Amino acid sequence: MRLRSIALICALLALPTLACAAEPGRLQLPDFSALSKKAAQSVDISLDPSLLNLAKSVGISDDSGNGAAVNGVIQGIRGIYVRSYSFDNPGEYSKADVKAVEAQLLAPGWQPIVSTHDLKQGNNVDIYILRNGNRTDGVAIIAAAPRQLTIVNIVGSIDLAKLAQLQGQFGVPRIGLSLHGTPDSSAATASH
Amino acid sequence: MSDEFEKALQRALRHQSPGEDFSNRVITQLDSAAAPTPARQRVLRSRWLPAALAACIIAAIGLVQLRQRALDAERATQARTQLMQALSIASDNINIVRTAVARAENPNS
Repeated sequence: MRLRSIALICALLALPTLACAAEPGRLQLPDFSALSKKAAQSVDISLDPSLLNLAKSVGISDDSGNGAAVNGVIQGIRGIYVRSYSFDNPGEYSKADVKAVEAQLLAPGWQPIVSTHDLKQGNNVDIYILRNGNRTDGVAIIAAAPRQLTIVNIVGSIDLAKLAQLQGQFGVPRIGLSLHGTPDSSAATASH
Repeated sequence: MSDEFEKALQRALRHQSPGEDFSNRVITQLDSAAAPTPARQRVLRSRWLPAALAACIIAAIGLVQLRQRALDAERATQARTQLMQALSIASDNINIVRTAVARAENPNS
C-alpha cells in the first residue's frame, strides 16, 4: 500500500516533466540564473500556450498598426521561450551553457538550416528547425557573441521570412546581437 | 314617551371627566403599540439578517471578480509585451543571419 502511494506520488511529480518532453519542438532550457546574476541585461521569457492565448486576447499589433501581419506570424505558435543575456565583459558565459542546448538539437528531427560565424568578432548564430513531414514543429535560434548569449525556442510553426520582415516594428527595446563587421569579416554558411 | 327618551339620551351623553391619568394612559398605549415586541423583533431579524448576509456575499463575490479581472488584464498585457519582445529578439537574430548570408553570397554588394 505504501509502495503504491510512493509510486503514485512519483508519477504525479514526473507528469510536468513528461508533459514538457512530450511537446515536440520544446527544448529544456537550462537554469541560467547564474548567468542572469552576472548579466548587465537579461531577458527571460517563457510563454506557454495559456499565456500566449492570454497575450493574443488583448490584441496584437506592431508599431505600424499592422496587427494582421503579427497575428499571421504567431498564428501557429504554441509557445515561445527566450533567454538572452548581455554582459559588460567578454567571456562571462561558458560554452557548456550553450552545449546543453545544442545537445538537444542533435535529437532526430532537428535540422540546422542556417549557421553564420563571424570569425573576426566571434559572433555565431545558428538556426535549427524541427520538421515533421511538411510541418514545422519548432525553431531554435542560438546566438552567441563574446558579450551576449541569446537562445530562442519557438514551439509550433512559424514563417521565418515573415518574422524577419517584422524587425524593428515591435516597439520594444532591442538587446539583439549587433553584427556590424565588415563584409569580409563575416563568413556565413547556409544549408537547407 | 318622548320626554323619557330625551332624558335617557341626556343621561347617556352626560359629560364625564376622563380622569387625571387619561393622557398618561394614552401615551403608554401609544408607546407599547410602537415598540416591537420581542417576538416581532425576532421576525424582523430573521427576515433582514439573511438578506443582509446575502447582499454582503454578493458584494464580496463581485469585488473578487473585479479584482480577478483586473489581474487577468494585467497578466494579459504583460504576456503581450513579452511576446512582442520575444518576437523582436527572434526577428533581429534572423535578420542578422539573413544579412550575413547575403553578404557571403554577394560579397561585392
